[in-house]
Amino acid sequence: MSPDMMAVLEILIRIILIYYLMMHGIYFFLILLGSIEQKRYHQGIQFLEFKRISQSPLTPPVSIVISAYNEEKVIVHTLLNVLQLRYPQFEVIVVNDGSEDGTLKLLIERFKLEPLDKVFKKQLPSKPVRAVYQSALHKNLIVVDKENGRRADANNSGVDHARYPIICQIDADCVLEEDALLYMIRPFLYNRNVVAAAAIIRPSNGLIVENGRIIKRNLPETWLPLFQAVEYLRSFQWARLGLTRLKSMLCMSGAFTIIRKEIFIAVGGANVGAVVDDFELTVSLHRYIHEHEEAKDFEITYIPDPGCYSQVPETLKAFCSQRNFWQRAILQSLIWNRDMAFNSRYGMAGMFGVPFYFIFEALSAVVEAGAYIIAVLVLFFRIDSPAILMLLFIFGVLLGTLVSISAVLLQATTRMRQEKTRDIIRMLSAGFIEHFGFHQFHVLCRLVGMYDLLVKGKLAYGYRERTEYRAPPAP
Amino acid sequence: MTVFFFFAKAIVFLTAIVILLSIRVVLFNNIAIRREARAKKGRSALREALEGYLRGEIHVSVFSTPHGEEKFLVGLVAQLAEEMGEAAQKKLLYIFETTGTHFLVQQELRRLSHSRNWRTRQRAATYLPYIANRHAVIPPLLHALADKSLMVRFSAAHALAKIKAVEATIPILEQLSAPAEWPAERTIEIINEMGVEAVPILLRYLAQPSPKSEGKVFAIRALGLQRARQAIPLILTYLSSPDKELRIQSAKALGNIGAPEAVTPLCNSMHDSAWEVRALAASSLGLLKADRAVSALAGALGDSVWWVRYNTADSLAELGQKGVAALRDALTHEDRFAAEVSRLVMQERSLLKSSPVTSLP
Repeated sequence: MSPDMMAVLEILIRIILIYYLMMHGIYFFLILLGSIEQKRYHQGIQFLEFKRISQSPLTPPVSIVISAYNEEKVIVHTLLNVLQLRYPQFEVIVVNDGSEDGTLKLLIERFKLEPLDKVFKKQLPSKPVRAVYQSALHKNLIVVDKENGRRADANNSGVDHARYPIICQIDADCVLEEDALLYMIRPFLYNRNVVAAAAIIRPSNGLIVENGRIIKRNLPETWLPLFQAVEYLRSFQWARLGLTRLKSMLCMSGAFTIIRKEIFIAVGGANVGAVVDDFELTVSLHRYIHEHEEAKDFEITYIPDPGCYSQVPETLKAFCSQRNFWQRAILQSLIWNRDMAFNSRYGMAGMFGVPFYFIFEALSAVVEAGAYIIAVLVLFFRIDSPAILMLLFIFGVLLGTLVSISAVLLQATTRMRQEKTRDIIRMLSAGFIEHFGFHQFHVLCRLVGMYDLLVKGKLAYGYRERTEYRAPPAP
Repeated sequence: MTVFFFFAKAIVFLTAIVILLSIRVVLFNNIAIRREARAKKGRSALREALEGYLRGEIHVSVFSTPHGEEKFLVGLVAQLAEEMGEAAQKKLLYIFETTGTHFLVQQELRRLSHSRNWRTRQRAATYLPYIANRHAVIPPLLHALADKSLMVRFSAAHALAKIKAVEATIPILEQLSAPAEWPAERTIEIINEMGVEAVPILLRYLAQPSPKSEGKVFAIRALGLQRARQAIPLILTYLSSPDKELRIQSAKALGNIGAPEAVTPLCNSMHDSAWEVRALAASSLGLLKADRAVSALAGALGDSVWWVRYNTADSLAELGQKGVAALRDALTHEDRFAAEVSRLVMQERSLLKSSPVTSLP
């Protein structure tokens, strides 16, 4: 290798090492910040508070919007679960987004749906509605049957049909804790500037659910969902909470979000042109808050109570498809909103949030792939290889492991810790092992995602699978 | 590269610490579980003793002897008082008055007035009504209404409402109606918790020449929730107030109270310039079940605002045969909006049979 090439390689190695140090350093800081926030949150909950909220005639009513596309395996369970929520007044709007399976038929039969000539004001872009139904069994259950238009389109249609001032969006595969809505509404009750809230999502793969009620909260049994459980812990439970503290949380997961209807409409609803609507919606909210004088005090908040469980992929194919999709979503939204980066007009979201997500989320796959290529080159050309390889290993793998295990350890010190020693060992092991193989596969899926968006312009979800919930063991 | 090697050493060192911590967490988890189980057992034993005392099986003097579980006593007493009602609460209070546990009351009082941590002050404000008699706690709680933390003020207000300290009604209205970010509903819930005893005070407050407008709004809403019939004449005067918010809350409160004398004024409010007033007047007319309001409501089925049309149709459905007949007439109304909303409400209430689903689109 020529001296010039060597110099370039050395500079690249230095850049990659600095990148790793900054990325994992920021994550470590966010995790610590998140844990402090969580402690403060739990200390702030008052005696009998949720009972009071559940019984007050002044607790605001909520419209729960569920978009469903080919969800026949889970939709009945999800609705049975949602209809049992402890909350004074709510309606459930299921938007059947042109499903090709038996979703609608199942809903009609199971919930005795009857046609309803629902009049609504169309304020958001969405595909035409074919019919609206109301359940004869549950008067607060509405089903909107519309042409297929993807999740953003379905959510917009659901919000158009909602009658209450607060919208809760959940995915069709979600299982909620009985008090989940009470947790979510709490910040709105104490601060009228709160316009949206997101919450911790946990994998539902180990749950045992009976008639829509959670019987047991086990960890996933296989390794792939378990790796994702650690990832969700690091990201949803700690990092996003820390980012919220810094007013830089740019991704309210569409799996469980609550938002004021008026602000959802004010930002133009979910973006139907986006790969996935949740990231883009959150960035739009930040943009709206900073561009409108009357909205300058508005807040987006994050609830560190585990209220929602969502299915995570159990096969490598489904996992890769999901991460490809997420990567495209983040990258697309950040490209669209690139004017916010390092723009003080957008406060912390502009000065920290957008750059952080762009550099350390959207581009991390490229840098990490670069690190692996350099490692191969170093090996191939035998350039001071042991020392450089060791540095790359320590900064890339060991530091990531340190962050993951710290997240699991912090969890063990909270009231949400795993009770069984076996579960703690499994989580710690997953935090360690995920960086040897699983993480590299994840990087590859994200690289393909970038290629799919930037070269092919792909917007579709791709391969997806649903599994039924585990039933309780026979007595 | 030297600096990177330095960081690499630090990372290896930190990883080693984290691995050691992991081993410690795993090894000590069983100890932690046992410790938790012991604490749980202690709490259960104390709870059983308290339940026995409430049933008259255990003498109060049992609680004089230190058990080492005093730290649970305050929380458990509050929990039991909530679960078992007022009589139990009085009996539980007796424990703190007659045994050596009175120091816990003093401790909470000290925390309320002196702690620098707002959460500690808030906790003290929350538990004091369960462990000390009302005369002892009202002055410090009233003082806490001026605390610099809104959450402490809120908890103090709840505590005062819990012990029905009606003298705190106006201070609560004034202390909690000020912050801009604070939703009005929380203050109204607290005033509502005071019960009917607060009604005369609220009436006096409303009758004052110029109390704060926010306070008046809160008072009217609380009177509505209390279904205070004696408030009807006063609230009727606010139905034509120049302040829109007062008109809105008055229209709502009259419906909640169920004031038949309000039917005509509410029918007049169906022509109010603010759609919120019209929508709430329509709802209230439905709650009043006054069939003489049918013609006024039927006229509003074609209102320009959807919520007014919907509430109107919904109220008509509440007004028995006459109301339903008006809705049926509206089905063929030349105004498309009136016809649509009438059909929607009739279907929602199964007053108009939907055709069964025979085939899927």
